[in-house]
Amino acid sequence: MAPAFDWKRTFDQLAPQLVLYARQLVQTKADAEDVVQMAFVRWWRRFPDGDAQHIPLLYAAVRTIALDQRRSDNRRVTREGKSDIAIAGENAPCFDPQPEQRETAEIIENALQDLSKEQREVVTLHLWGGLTFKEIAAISGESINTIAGRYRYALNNLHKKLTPVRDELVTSEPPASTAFNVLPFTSQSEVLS
Amino acid sequence: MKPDFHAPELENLLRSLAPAAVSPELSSRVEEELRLDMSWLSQTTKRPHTVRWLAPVTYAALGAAAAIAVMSTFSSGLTLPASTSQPTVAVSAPQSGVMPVSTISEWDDVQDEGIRYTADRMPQKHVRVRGTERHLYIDPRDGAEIIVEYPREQSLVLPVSFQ
Repeated sequence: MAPAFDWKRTFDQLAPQLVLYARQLVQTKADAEDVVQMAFVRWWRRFPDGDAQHIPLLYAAVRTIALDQRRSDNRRVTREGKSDIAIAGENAPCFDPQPEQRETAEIIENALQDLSKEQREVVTLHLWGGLTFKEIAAISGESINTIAGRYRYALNNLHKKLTPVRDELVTSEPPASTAFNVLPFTSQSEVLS
Repeated sequence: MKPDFHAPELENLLRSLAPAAVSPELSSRVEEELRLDMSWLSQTTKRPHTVRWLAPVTYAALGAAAAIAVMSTFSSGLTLPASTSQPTVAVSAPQSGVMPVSTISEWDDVQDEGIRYTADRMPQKHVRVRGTERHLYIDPRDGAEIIVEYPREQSLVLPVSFQ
């Protein structure tokens, strides 16, 4: 049995990416955090050692719970209409940029929003979640070729959107301590291979 | 003309953006939920040692008590037969270690043999009753139920009065 404090370390390293992914599936940040809470608790109960090989299952849990919530939300919104809180939460930023990156973050966030849901999901899982196409295919129930194709189309679309504003985009390497796109227990090259 | 992005460059640009930090409440909520789990795990409550055969014995005893009450009420209005057509089989526990729980008699057939007169000319109604006597035993070691059934045939003599 893993020590009780281990979950915190794992959670701190994975939660931002998980919430980012959940936000592609549900409407508000609050909803996304609810989804991540449920998914992480379920996952940790099942895998209390926090083994990195089970992390794709955590994303799968996020996906399942988020889609369930989205379905129920759709029914609820149809019945009741959107609340003010929900509408306000939709505009919460998905990224936490460095001060010099704020404009870049806004541009990229808008570009991502223009992608289809499927393309955005693959990009989020691959670039920020660090999952391989094979793992994403397993999560979404699609073939690897379909996932690779979606990713390629997504990059092409982002390329078209971002090239005209390339001069305005500022790239900065995140500090090693906040390397968000590196899974906690595996190397980046291993994950992205 | 602006130079195009190369794919790795675009990927690096996207990756350079850190996902927004989660709210502190989220971590607290997860911690609370997991702590609840740990509190459940740490509770080493011993399950009470339940005697597996206790419940069936209780129900069977209730049934037996009811049967005895019914039989005693029924037999109070009857004259016990002078003799039965078959010798009474002495009922003993089928094997050592088991405990008797109940004995239930069921009447399958009642045959009216009419009114006969005794030597001193007193009328008596003779009734032949066929049935089954069921004995229930329970082995307390494993809760196994043992049911032994005996066919019974009784000749009852009921008092008759003509008024």
